[in-house]
Amino acid sequence: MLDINNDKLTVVLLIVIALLGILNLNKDMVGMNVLELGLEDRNFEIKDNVINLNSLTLKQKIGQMIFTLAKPENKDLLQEMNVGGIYFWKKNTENTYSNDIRYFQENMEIPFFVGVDLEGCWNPFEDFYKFPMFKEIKDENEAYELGKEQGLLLKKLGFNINFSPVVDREDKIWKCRSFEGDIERKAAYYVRGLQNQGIIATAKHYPGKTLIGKDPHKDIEFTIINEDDLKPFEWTIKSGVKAVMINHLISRGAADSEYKPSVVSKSVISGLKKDFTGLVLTDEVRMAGLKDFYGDERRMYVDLVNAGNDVILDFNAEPWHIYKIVAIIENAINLGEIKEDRIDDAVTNILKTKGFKVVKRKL
Amino acid sequence: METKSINYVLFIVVFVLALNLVYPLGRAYGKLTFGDLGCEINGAYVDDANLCCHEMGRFPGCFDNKCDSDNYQIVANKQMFRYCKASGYDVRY
Repeated sequence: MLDINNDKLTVVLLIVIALLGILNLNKDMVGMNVLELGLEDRNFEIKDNVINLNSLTLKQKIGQMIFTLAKPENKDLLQEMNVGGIYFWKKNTENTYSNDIRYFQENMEIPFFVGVDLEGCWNPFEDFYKFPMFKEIKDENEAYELGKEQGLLLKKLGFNINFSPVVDREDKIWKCRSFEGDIERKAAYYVRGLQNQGIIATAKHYPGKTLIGKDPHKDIEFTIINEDDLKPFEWTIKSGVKAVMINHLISRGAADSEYKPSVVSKSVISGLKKDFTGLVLTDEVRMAGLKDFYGDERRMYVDLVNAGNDVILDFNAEPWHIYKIVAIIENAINLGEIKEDRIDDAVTNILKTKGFKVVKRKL
Repeated sequence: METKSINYVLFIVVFVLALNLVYPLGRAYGKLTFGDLGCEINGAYVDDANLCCHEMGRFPGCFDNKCDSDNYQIVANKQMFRYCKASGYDVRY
């Protein structure tokens, strides 16, 4: 016999479960209008290398802050979303690089940053061009020449930013990524050699100490940063380095990240910005337990922006994921969690680094 | 099963789904369903799965559980490669 009250309750519960199920599947998008994730026309005002920042929509400005993997099948969407930078993994021939980079940069009024890791012992061009390892470099003159040689190749292929030099003093994993001996002097000369060829150098990973093989989230292990760790950054900054990459380690001492990964610590990044006015980039956000530290992905992206990063490295290059990052940040601005001034500062820095003079008026 | 018993079960499901909206349960219990994951980079063991995946993604291809280049070698088991793929990393093996 039917128990009407219980059966009604069952129906109600099933409907509630269906609704909660949909919300759970889309919980990153709760509060956002998914229909607003449409692509926008690019009507940038650019004249003689001067760009009117106000001619970019908010979504387009946020897009400039994202640096992701270059997957040819996503090229059109990355262009439409005005993504700021693309990164290439290892390829086998010069022509593959040149052709792919040309393919991406076609018709881009605001060109992509085109980045690579040509580091102390990682050479993505090794199939057609060899370089000595950083640990083989004897003095600053050799470091300068290495920077110059690498800069020439990168320029030829179409790159404009190299995520190098690694200036961490402790490297227990790779054991070859940094210079040896006088790291600060060699790194400073390397930066000059590279940047004199028109390639942006990136000192990393501020405030120092490459991962030591432990997941800081699992062991809550703190890294102690001392003044010596900061010296290579001071030297490369004095040498004119145009970009610095921030790591995900929880640090104490001369750079205190207040129990958070350095990349989301306002304290660490404002410490850097006392002497550095160039580009601040995150390390790739999926690494080293940053996402695990947060649990809530939305909070992570908001904190990355508010901490003072100009560029977010996120190598999940699926277009829906890029849409999601843009939507999260835009939503946070609409809710007052991020000030639009913060975005303008970041994008101004990005566009200046790309060679534009930035104004906020009609041209 | 009686409708009343089904409703108790449904209440629990509602509670879990509602709780997951405000406090993702993955945070409490961890996300990995593959067991402990890690790799060897140049002979040093690294138990950071995402770092391993990032490094492995640098290579155009990995063979026999190894990703090799002039000065870089990463060794990982099949489970690690599967984890990387499942997590959206472009690791080729």
